[in-house]
Amino acid sequence: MRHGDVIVAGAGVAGLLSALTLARRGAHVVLVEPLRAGAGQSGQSHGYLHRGYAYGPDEPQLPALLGTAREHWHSLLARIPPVTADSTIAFCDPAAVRRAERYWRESGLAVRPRSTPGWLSGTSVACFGSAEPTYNVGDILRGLSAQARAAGVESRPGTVERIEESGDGVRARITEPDGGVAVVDARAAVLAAGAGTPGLLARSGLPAAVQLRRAFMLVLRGRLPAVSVLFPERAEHGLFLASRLGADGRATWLVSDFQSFDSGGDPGQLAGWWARRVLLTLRRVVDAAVLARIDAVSGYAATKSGLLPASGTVAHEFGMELLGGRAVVSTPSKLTLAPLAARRAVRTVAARLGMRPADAAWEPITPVPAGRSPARETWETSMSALHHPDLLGEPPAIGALSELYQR
Amino acid sequence: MLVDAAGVRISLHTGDVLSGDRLLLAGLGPLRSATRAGEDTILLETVSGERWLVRMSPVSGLVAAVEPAVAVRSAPRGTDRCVTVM
Repeated sequence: MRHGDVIVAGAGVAGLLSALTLARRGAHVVLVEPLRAGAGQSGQSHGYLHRGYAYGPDEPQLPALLGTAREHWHSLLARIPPVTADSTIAFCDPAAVRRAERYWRESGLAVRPRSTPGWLSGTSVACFGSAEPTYNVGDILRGLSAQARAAGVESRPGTVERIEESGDGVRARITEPDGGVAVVDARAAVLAAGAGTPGLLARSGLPAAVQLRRAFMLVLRGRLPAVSVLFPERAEHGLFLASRLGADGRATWLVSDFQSFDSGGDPGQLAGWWARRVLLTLRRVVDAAVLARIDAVSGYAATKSGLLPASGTVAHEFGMELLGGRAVVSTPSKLTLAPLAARRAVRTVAARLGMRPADAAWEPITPVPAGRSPARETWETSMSALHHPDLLGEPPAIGALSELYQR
Repeated sequence: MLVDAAGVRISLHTGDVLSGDRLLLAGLGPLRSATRAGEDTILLETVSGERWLVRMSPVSGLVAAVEPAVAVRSAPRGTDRCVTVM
């Protein structure tokens, strides 16, 4: 039996931020992760981070939340180089551009006029620019992991199977990679296991506080420009496109959208249906010469989690205390809100451990040298791909695209 | 626009499947028909004759699966109107 002050289940952004902050305050933190940092929801959610350009009038609480989160990220990302220095917001409807630009400006986001960039076909879209940079989540996760190790966080490979009250604290039963079972006692726990949290709560006999949703990512590779762009196709639907640059000069485009699906059961060819629709949209707005430079199409299914009760695609709650305050569920509904979820978890645990209540400023994440970054991120490594697709002709069939999502 | 007994709306123009104001499944183009094929399943038939079953989750109300339709009776041909089984 091992002991710690705090058990943190899950080494995503929220778990790492919580563990790092508590360790820096002097707590002995045991961080339990079955795979690698960010291999779950944090990496799979988007693979990149934006600081809050994705909202509209239908999400009235988000501007304030994202504004607060932006201040946190401003400190955390001070040393991390962005992939793109700004973002483009492109609409097919010029009136929609004017409405969105006005709303975003009134919400406190810096926007500026922008002519249509050359990689977008000039006939069907209108644009404005946002000063929001984008970041590779992999860079953030690697930096946080290195800092957590330096701060003395004890990392344990495994899955927290069950959490329960034990004396004045909690007891966690952990399944290790070799199938062994370990028991860790601690005074408090942070449950930041993302898609694994509902199962953990169920096995522990705790309330079903977290819901899951299925989402899909489309990944395109080639000699492409580094871009960050949003195409709202309609009021509540659109595509995000962000980039990551590889050392070989090729770029990865990561495409996601607002849609989420039920997470249970076999989705059949839902992924292929979704991917084909995305490709059709891109073919409508991206310059043909740029599309022709895409030499690989792949994708993966991701899981989104959020606290119940649901409030649409974005929950405004991201922390819930359980076991009389011994444990806190930390599950931001958007990766951008992870610092707020971590701050909430730290506040709960600090109160339980009798630590000073003041919220210290975040220290900047130290970037890991580029040479130590993988060519492909953890969540991409098992993807299959369609090579040299003819995206200017008939898009790949739904069945063929669906196979890309079979792991 | 088809509105069925469960409150699901389907645009024959875009193929979009909606519930209230929420987009459940973005369509791939015009549909010839949209038909209930079961309590939780909708049969979509495109103008080119492809047929797809969209299965909804009774728990979440979200789309759970999309499958090519096999051995499911097609909607009557010769009309662009949707056919609804209430």
